[in-house]
Amino acid sequence: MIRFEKVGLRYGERPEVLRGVNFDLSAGSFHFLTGPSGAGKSSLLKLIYLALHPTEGRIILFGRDVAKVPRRELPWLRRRIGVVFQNFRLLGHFSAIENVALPLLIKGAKRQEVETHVIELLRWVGLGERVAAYPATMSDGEKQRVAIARAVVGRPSVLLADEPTGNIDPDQAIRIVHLFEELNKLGTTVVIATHDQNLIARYNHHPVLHLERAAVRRHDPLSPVTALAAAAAGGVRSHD
Amino acid sequence: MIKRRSPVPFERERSERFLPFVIGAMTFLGALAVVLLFTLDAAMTRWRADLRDTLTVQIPATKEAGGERAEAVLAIVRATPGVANAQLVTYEEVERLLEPWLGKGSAAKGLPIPILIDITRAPGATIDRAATERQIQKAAPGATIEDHGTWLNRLVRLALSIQLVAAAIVMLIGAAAIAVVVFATRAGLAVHHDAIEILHLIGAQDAYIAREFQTRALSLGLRGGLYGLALAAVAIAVFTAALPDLSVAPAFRFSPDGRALVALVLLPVATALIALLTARHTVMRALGRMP
Repeated sequence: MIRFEKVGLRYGERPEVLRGVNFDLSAGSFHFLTGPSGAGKSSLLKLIYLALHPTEGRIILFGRDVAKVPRRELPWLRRRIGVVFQNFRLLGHFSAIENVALPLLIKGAKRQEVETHVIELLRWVGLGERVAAYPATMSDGEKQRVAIARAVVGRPSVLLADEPTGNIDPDQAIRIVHLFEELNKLGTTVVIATHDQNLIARYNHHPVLHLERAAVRRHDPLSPVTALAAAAAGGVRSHD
Repeated sequence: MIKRRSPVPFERERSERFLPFVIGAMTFLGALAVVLLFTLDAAMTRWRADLRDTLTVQIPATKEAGGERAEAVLAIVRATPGVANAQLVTYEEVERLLEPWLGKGSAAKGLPIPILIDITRAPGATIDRAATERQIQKAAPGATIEDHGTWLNRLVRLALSIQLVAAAIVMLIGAAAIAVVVFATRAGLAVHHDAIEILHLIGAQDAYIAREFQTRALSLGLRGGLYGLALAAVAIAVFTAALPDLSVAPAFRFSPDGRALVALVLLPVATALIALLTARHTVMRALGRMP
């Protein structure tokens, strides 16, 4: 589904953010992406959602080498990837329902056709009473759920979330990760970038991609690092 | 619940509000230049039709009555090959021609007014002006033949050069309009960068994003064009009413003909289309630089 082969990234003349990154995420998997602040988690996600080009290496998405995909076809690849951005990135002059409907409208769907579906989705994320609300009147948790609804409304194959629990309280964070797990059960590949070790520990049945010093290491469930994080969070869960 | 509106919040932007007024001013100037172009064209057509095949014999005034000399010259002219018609211009007609300069009434009386004979050339024929002039000078010393074609050619050259200047003005205005739209679109791209990036990342094609900008530019361009046209209509009406018919034989009337009116009506449409295409090109180029 997503394969990185010796991927490197640097911004201009600055030091490399990523160096020789290799990993392979299979379809329907659920991963946490973690690492210290500034380690390059957001940059790695940007490479996956095609907001950046790698400075070296190869990225294979849905079986296609991204570098060889003609530019005019990139929007179709992007439509298969749902993104929950770090600061939500909602359109301020659009209501919740309009923000969520946007990915469908840009595909050419008619407003009347999508309205019912979008309202259902907003109910699913717990915003059934807030469909007409504007971002300026919403709490961070509500904005986050609108952002999630917008990311999944087009039934993407891959869902990426950049620090989705960074601005919300722990209870809401748990609700949101549950939403991601539900989507994952439906077959969506999920990658959540977070530096919240408590969250990773709570959901330690998912593998972790650990990003540090420009390189990625993979830790499978309950590997020593995961277990350590779980222990630190005081909530180790066992699962077989 | 889902309203029909652009994902790019143009209504929140102040920088582009000047655009209809700038385009309006340009359209106004363009409209005047277009009217000048067509008015001169119509005038040239009239001049050619009226004067191309005409010549005038001028017999200088003397103390004696000029009737005999005029009759003799008229007979020579009528017998000249290539002449279709020759007519003595009556004193009343000469007075009327002098009216714009001397005023109405009998101001011309007492002035040494020459005797004039209008000659019409047969279509396609040539008249040996020098030989004819020599002949009529025997009957009326000092008489001359003025070929209007020569004078007309000079006038047409002048009119053509004015038309060229007017066309250059129209093109300059078009170029300036393009520059203004490019500037406004780039400003819009910078202001709405966030919204554009969101659209781009959720899978909008470049053409979808460009459509938002080009529709906006079309609307602003059309509005500006209509402002300019309305202003130009007032100015043309004032000119048409205020300027007298400058009838010095070949008439020049400042009044737009049918072609000019069609061009004027099309001007706001052209302005709007220029704005649309310029905005589209600018946005597509800018988006082409995104990953």
